[in-house]
Amino acid sequence: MEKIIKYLSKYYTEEDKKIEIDPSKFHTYEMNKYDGKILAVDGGSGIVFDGGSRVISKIKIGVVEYAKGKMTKQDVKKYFMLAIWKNDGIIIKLDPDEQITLSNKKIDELQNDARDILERKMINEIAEKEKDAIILSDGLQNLSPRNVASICKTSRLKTKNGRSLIGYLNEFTKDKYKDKLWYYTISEGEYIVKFHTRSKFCYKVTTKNKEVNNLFGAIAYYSTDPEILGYPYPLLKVDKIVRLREDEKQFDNHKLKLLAKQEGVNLEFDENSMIMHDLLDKRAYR
Amino acid sequence: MNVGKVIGGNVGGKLLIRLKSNAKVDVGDLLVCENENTGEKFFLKVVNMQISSLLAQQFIEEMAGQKLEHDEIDYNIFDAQDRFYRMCEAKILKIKRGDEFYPPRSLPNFFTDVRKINESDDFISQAGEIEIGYLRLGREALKAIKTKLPAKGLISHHMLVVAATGKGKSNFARVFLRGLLKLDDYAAIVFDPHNEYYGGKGSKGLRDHPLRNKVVYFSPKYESTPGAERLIISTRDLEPDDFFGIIDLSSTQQEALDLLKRKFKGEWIEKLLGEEIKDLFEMFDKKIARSTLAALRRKIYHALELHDKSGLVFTLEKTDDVSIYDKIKSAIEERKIIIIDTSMVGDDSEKIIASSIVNRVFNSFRYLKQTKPQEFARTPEVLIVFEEAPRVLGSEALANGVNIFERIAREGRKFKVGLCAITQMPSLLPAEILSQMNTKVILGLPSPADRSAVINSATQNISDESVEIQMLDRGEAIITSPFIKFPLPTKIFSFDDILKEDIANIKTTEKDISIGVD
Repeated sequence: MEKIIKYLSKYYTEEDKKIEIDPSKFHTYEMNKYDGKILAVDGGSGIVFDGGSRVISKIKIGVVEYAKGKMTKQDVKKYFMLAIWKNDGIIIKLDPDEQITLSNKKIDELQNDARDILERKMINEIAEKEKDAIILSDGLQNLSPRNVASICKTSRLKTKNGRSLIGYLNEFTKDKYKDKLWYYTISEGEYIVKFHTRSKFCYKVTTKNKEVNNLFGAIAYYSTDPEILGYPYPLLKVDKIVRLREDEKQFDNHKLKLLAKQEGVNLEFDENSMIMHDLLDKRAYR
Repeated sequence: MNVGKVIGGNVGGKLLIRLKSNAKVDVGDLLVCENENTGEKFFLKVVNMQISSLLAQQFIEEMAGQKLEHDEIDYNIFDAQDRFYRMCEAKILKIKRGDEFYPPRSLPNFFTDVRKINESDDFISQAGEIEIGYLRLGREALKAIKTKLPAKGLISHHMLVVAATGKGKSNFARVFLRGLLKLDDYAAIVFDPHNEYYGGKGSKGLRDHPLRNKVVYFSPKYESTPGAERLIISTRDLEPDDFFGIIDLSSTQQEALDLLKRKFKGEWIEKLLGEEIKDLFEMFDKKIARSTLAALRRKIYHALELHDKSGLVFTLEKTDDVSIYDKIKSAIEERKIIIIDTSMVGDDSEKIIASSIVNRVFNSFRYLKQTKPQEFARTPEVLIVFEEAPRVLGSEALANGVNIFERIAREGRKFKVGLCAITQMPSLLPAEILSQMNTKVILGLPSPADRSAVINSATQNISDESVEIQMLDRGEAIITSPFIKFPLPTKIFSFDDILKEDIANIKTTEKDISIGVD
């Protein structure tokens, strides 16, 4: 480990000196106590039954709405998705019915693609309906509505010499912009933004909204919750309601197998071909 | 209005209820919830409260720290009502199925709505003649529901009234006595060391009640109090027993008192105090040591607070009047409340007054039961009210030997004589005596030792109510008794308020009036 750290230190001490940041791309902005609606959309998914070539997943797409600092609405749509191999292809069946097209060929990853599609669909519907509202997405890219801002919790953006751009900007601004809210323009519609002066984090934000000062000021107001300073609270809230917990997955797994049994089908034979890793993991934790 | 939802609990333990953010719920509140599928109605009592959150403790601490240390920075807690909330622990008092009440052997369902009790819940429709207050919900009194105690049996099974100073012990006793006044089958003797029961200048008492013709008041200062009788006791009416267990006497001294009584009959105290020690020594053929006689003379003289031949209450002279004991006996037969003003005499003197009176009442009842059972059946139950009870029932007092109060605590119920022991320090009473006090009126008790003494000896399980007992405010009480269905949270009436109501509601006759204000 020591060798690796020595090698890495060179990059931080020598290579990073070569990074050039364009000062004209830095901007400060003010928080504004936004009175309008702000909505956050997120999705969660997980496999509740894995029979190797027959996989059932659960997908949850949720939305929360806030106005004047208070939650005014929340809603979660739940789907079960069956992915099943047939004739060298995968058939998808959603309950409740929804028409989606998936291209990913890995049967245990299809639920992520389906979640992505359903999430986009909800965002587009809401953006159309709530034209004056700000809609926050949890990191989905290439969203076209002007009133949507997508906030990425993680980013692989890098400087020319290969350092994390967000990491570098965070370090670069820690003294100079200590008590300021700032954003850095990467390209048109693509920004790195700090939403709270006391936060250790900044995020990549993509939006087609041109009035970014107002947009970021409003998001900054909703990023003042001390549970997670600097991250928009509505996104935290919607994440909580769509997250698929392990106990929920287990409950659904038992229910599925029970219902199947009532139909004369025993799913356990197929499931046993896939769960040995999980069993060993659980034993190791004990 | 719903105040919360059931979120956990177990039989024999407590229910956990998440409270609505704007619900006003306090420890001691009575709540109700209903299982829709079974129709069971659960009556609950809040015994503790806590604040809670689904967030990990470290987040909460960090959030508090950020707000404390960086006040200049913008913070807003969103969804505060959802994320930070109050919960309460409640014990199940009773379950109602149909019209019947049952012990708590079942539980409400998850997420059952919980509301506060109200007058339509007929929760407290218990029998009882003596109204003592209102049903108390935490800090509030539900004035539509009056709490009552049944007099029959409760009196002779003894009562303990406990509270710290200023929490309303005497007020409760006056309210209870006011209840007895309205009944025809009960009498009471009140030893009043602070002269606060009868009433006087600036304070209301039983003499102000429309039924004051049922009150008899004995006081050394009888001349200045209209309607009062003189409190005077001739030493000729005293017995050695009146001193045993009351003042500190060795067994040798007790035997000596018996010998004096046997030899001099009614004049035994006059002789002890009047004769020369050497003569007494000779009169008893040197069987009683000079030192014993000298010690007895000193103790009895001081205890009776005599100055020459007479003191404020006791006198060596033979009184011409009917003795106080006979007057009290008659008053008991007439079902009256007898108040003895002992505010001007010392502690030992007061105890001897009380001991001598109570001895005679107890012995006459006992004699009556043994010899004339039919007549005994017609006698009223008598309540003896004694303040600062550890003076006669405390472990230290009982070290002096058995006294009449302890005897009544053990045997009184057989002879229709009950004690109402009032104290602010129940922990000074032995556990056995405490357990004999079947009805306990518990007002605020801040001392843990006193609380645990009362809780451990209560006839109903009130171990969960310790926090509530600690926090009870003036006039707020919990009453436990085998004669009521569950520990009764009560806001005791203010005597002055209830007196006004009685004056407005009870018609008095000229004869009645003349006794109190002559």
